Amino acid sequence: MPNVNVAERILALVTTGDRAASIVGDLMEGAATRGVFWFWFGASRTAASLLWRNVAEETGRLTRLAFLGLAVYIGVELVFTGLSGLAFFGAIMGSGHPLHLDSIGWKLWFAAPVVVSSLFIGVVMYSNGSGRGSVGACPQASLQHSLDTMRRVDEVRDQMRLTTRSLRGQRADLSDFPPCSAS
Amino acid sequence: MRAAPSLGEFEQIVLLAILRLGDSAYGVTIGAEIAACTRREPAPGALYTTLDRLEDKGLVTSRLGDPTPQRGGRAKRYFVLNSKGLAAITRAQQSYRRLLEGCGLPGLTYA
Repeated sequence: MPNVNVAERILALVTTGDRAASIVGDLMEGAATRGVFWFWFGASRTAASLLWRNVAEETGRLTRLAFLGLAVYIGVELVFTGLSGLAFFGAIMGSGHPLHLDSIGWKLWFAAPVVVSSLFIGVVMYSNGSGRGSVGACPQASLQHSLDTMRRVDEVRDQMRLTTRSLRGQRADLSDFPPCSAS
Repeated sequence: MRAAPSLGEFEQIVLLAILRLGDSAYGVTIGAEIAACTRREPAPGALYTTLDRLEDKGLVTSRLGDPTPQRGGRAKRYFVLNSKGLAAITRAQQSYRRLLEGCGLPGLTYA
């Protein structure tokens, strides 16, 4: 039967590897007489049941983990926002010119909180979760971080547009004055 | 002292099926035994979740068998009732029996 390993990997997300393998083996035995549809229906329902069992039986621990992850995320955001503010202020005060937010360095800087907070949340989940129990929170965290990254890219792009417009405006203002050599 | 684990209806059905099958109790045979005795096909999700829960409660123990080619080289997981599981199902069935005594349900007689 094709793609049986995919079913095993999906089940291994919600239970141990050897349990997932034995469940897939059982489903393969059943599918020999009942067909491929029965196999996938059984695998998906089993994965959903095992996932729900993890969530239902460890609601308190998963909620605590979620809040811990949120606290880590907010903490990292605050640190980077503070450092960004200092960097902006320092750069503007030092050179007197607007910053080029479209540079690679600033793009990396804006993406850094997502990477760092994901890393920290992963560490927190690994150290506080049993592995199986934290599985339910991982897709949610990944989705949230993907959306957040997209939001950040949009924010940076908007900021870049504003900066560019500001720079063009300053140049236009300067062009109103005749050059010194012409006077 | 910890209270004895309570058993749901499906947990009792699974434990009794394992007991009936002896050394050959694994997912497929347990499901087939339940279907044969209760005329109710158990959903795979419900069956494996219950087996996991019973093992976590310490009522059954499992061991892996040899991998077979029909299963794509995957081993069967055999389940056996331990003394705690046997005590739990006995207690649960005794409770049922006490409740049933005197009910006069047709087809059921208790001494």
